[in-house]
Amino acid sequence: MRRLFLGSLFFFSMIIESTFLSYLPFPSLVPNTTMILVICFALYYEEKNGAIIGFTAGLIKDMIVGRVVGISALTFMLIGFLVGYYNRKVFVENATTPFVLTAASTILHESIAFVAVFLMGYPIHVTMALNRIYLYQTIYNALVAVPIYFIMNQILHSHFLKKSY
Amino acid sequence: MNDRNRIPIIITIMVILLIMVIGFTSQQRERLTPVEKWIGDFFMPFQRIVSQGYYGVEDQIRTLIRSSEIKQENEMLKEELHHYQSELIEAKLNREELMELKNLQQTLNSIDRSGFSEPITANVIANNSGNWFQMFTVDAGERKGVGVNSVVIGSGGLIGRVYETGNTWAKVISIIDNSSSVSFRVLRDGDLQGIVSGSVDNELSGYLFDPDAEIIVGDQLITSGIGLYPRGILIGGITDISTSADQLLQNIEVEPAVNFNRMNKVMIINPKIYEE
Repeated sequence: MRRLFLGSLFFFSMIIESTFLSYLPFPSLVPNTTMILVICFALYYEEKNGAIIGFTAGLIKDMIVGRVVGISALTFMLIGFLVGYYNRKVFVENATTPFVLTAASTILHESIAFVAVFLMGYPIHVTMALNRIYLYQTIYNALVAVPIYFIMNQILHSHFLKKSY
Repeated sequence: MNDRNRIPIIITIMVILLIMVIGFTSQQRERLTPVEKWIGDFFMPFQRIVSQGYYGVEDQIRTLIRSSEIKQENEMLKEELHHYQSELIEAKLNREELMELKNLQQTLNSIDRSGFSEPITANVIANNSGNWFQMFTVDAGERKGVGVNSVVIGSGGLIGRVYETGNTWAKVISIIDNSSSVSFRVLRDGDLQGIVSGSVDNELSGYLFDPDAEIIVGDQLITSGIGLYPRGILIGGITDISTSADQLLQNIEVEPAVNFNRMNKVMIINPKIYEE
């Protein structure tokens, strides 16, 4: 029951991300909701499960929306692991937590993608990449992460899920 | 060794494995693994429902907001229709002549050159344009006859080519993707040819082979038929011309004929049938 519910959250997120959110009038700037969910779960489940969840979600996302399989799987796994580790060592719960963690995760994710795309030999405009991806995408993701984090926090700590585990 | 200490080792092994997977899948593949096909097939109907719902609602809202504009547009379209009808008659006459010539050719060579296959229509069901690639998914796949490198055309002109296919879906690369390049000719003068490519910032730009070619802003470009794309598909119009520093190339900026942010229906032509 619990796993089914959490799995369907990821399923829903990936569908929305590839359809509705990408049609909104910010061309080619889509909030990475799946990554934000990975962060929320890693904050709750610590590094082992965070890494497993990140890997699975990333792999499926790569298959449905990506061109190269493995980039999201790799970065989401690392994000799940690092956020889970951070959570166990130094946890402060307030609104800046999801904001900062998502911003940092976005930079990690895009940097790994950047290196992968570069090694594959595609031409890259560095200034453009710095501007759009590191600035706009990071801020966009971080802003979207705050409400999602609080909703997920409510859901994960709610009675309904605890009882049925 | 306890569980917590083992995790970093497992993570490291996974990272190495995933880097290998990235390496293997970085090039275009003729065939996807069954797992990828299944996952795509599973997601496809849901993506289609959400996309169709979105387009439906958006269309309604647009109609409400722009009803007066639509009236004007209607008048304009009616006028255009008259214009095209006369052109159509002319084209039909030309076609008849062409058919006669083709019949002659067939009797002479007995080779069937039927040209285009029946186009497959499809809906755009997901936009996969991340920060690095410009791709989208359509709801037609191998079962409908879509193959890798099939050509995708929209209402205004050339959209791109099929990158990979599942049973019921296919991923398409737009011509504004940074790995895409299309060989073109200027519609006004077919001798002026060149290449346009996409880029990471989603703009179409290119150059002409002839540095002295006389082109003007507003010239329409069509596919030249060299390479993957069949001849005569509209690509877009020139918006800017500049000469490179060494005076060897004329660089152009191109406004694509298709609005890549608003695509709903597309047409897919199979090049395998087209070639022979």
